[in-house]
Amino acid sequence: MTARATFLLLLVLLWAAPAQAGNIVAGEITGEHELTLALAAPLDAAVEWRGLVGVVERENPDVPLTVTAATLSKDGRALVLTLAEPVSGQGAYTVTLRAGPNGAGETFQVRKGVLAVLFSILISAALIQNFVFSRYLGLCIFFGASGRKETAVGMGFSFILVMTLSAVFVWAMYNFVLKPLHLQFLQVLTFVGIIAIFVQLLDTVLRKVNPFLFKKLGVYLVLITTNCIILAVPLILVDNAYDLWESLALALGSGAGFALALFLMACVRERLELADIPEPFRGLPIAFVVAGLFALAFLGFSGMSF
Amino acid sequence: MDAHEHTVLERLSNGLVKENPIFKLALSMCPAVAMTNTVRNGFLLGLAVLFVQVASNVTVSVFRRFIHERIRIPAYIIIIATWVSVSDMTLAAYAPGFYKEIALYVKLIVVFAIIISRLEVFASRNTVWPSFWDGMGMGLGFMFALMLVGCLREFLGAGTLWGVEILPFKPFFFWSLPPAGFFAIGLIMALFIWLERRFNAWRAKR
Amino acid sequence: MKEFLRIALNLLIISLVSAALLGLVFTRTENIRKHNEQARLETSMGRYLDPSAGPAHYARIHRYLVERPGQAAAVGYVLPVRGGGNAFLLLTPGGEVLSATPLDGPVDDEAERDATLARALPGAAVHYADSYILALDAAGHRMASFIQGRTGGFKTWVHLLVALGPDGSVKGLEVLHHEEDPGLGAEIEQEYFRNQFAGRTLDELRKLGVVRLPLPDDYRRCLERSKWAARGLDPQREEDVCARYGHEDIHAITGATISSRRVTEGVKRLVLAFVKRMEIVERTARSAGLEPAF
Repeated sequence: MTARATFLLLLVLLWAAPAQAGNIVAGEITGEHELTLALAAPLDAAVEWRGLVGVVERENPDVPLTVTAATLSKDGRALVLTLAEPVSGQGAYTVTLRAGPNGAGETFQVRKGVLAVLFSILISAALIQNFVFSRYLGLCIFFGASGRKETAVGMGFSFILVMTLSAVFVWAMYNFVLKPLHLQFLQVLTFVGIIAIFVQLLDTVLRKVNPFLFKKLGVYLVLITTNCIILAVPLILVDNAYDLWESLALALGSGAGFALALFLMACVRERLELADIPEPFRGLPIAFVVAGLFALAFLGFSGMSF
Repeated sequence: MDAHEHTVLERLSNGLVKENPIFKLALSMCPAVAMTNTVRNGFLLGLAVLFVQVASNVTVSVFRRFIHERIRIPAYIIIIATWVSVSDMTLAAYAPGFYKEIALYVKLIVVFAIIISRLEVFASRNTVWPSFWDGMGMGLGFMFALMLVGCLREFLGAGTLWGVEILPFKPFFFWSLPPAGFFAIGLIMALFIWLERRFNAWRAKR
Repeated sequence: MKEFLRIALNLLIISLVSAALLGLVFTRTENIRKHNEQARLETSMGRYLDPSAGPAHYARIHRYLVERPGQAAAVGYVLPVRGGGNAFLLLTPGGEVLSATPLDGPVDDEAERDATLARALPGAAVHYADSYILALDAAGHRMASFIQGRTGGFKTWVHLLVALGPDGSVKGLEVLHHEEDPGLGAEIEQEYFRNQFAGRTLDELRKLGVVRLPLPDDYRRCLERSKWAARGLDPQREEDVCARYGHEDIHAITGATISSRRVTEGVKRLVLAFVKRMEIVERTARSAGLEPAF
């Protein structure tokens, strides 16, 4: 398979909403004010389609958006709708297309595919909203474990593991126990409780089952309990009412973002040791200044969306 | 000076200067970076941390014989989480304006490393009264550090202190940006180290 | 084994004691929190009411999105009706009445409304959307309307309260809750940003955009009204300055263009949808046999 074909396949996987019966086979948000529909059978270029098409946000079905133009492609199989209001990739839109002035209507849901949503949560947690450089959380461990590349990799790996597994537990606990019983006020208590018990469990199991891995990761496991990120992720997934897969994507993205931050920082700090730095700045103070520079660089990601 | 007064002074100075949570122990720096663009924010969060630290310290030292050695970490975390939730709910009910400004960080106090490390290092081995003053010292030291960073950033970023206008213009907008928190802490830390060196050298000479 | 049981029991006791303590604090504080939140909302609203018109009473309308199995999505409104009590008006997206049912339970907070609606509409899934609050004077005339809604900010949701005059023009904007960055997006709660919305008419609002230009000093001074008295400025002259700038686009906050733009879009969307929806509700409620209390 050529690279191009792979790319196209990936694109289809990422963007395609489930196919529905009718002339519209796919819909996609193609710009800040633009939706594009792909059609099975070509439409008649002579018809003024602008008056026959309607677009509403799924949450506001009673307020139609204003379609300012409906442009048909040359082969008649793609219809580009220009809207007065901005559309966002996060939103879901219902498009109604009538076959003619008196024709029957056909509706189609335009929104990101499931995979695309998960991908955007993951990327946003890892880069745009990077916990260390954009949300300023998890700093104790960040400064503590970024002295050596080797430590940074070990810590990053353990963190992704604990983060992902505990997010699943927390999600299940919140949705099946706390929420049905209206015990939301216990959320902080149960979340950290779950994480602490989980870390202890992992510690015990790893010690027995795989002593080699335990020797590598054991020291970090206990530290992880007091990492802000490990509590921030459950609080965020509850606030946004994420489902299981979205929670997993968030946890994985946050873990990966933290590991990335650790690794970047460790690379710089290993070199800093050889550099000629004014004496009072040696060690942590210069690490803070470097982290500040990284944070400034990460500001460049802000406002991006996938 | 009797023994009791001695402990009080020692614990307070330990938390404020000798083992200052932010500048010396370098623990719990997340709020020190994110919440210090104004002095007021630093003060409010410092107050919440002070309460949680003192309450958890006292609780752990009272029940230190009851808590089983093997599960002490989960037990400490549950105790901290309880006090954090209590202060979260109390603030939300009685001081909504105050709460609105620090709501995001109040829940995260649970995982501030400084609190659990004081429980492990001090409160689990000492009686109630010294633990209380240790909590006070650490909490005040934390608040002091947050306010110091806040002063620097608010003055340089907005030209104000505690919302009161000092300069009629904003000297460096950069200092209001969240990344500047890193720079501020790095600079103050270096200053602390430098002062300590000078002080030690001066004392050695005498 | 005995050791293990002891540890488990130890942890269990600690958890139970703390859960009990939290439960106690929660039951003590929850009602006070709700009450204070309500009081704060009413203070915010009171700022936009003319004190000379006498005390206002508020009619609260809550909008829901209703999904019934096998049928198209519908919009429902919880409305207060004349003589006390509430009713639920269910409409198609096009504005035709599907049903109008009296509600038999309390509707003061979200949990109560969920329970009451579940009884009134068995089998349907209801999703809370936003609340509209109408301030009425003693004679029942509308003094102002308030929209309590949310819009996506730079980080998470920004919860807004938009105050409208009887003619639909914006009287003011309050930011109820947000989690934007301190020093950047958090500036949306400052007067110099919020007050830029005051005085916009519906037509102006439709075309309102955001510009990335520095805020002129004299404009900024008049926007920060609460400091007038302290600075010894003449309120009348400042009002003229504001009126001069008041028809330009919104000046974005330095370093937080996205937050500014999202809030502006949110205000536009909330206000325009509100005007349209209130027209539909007033038209359909009576034809469905309801006597709304506004």
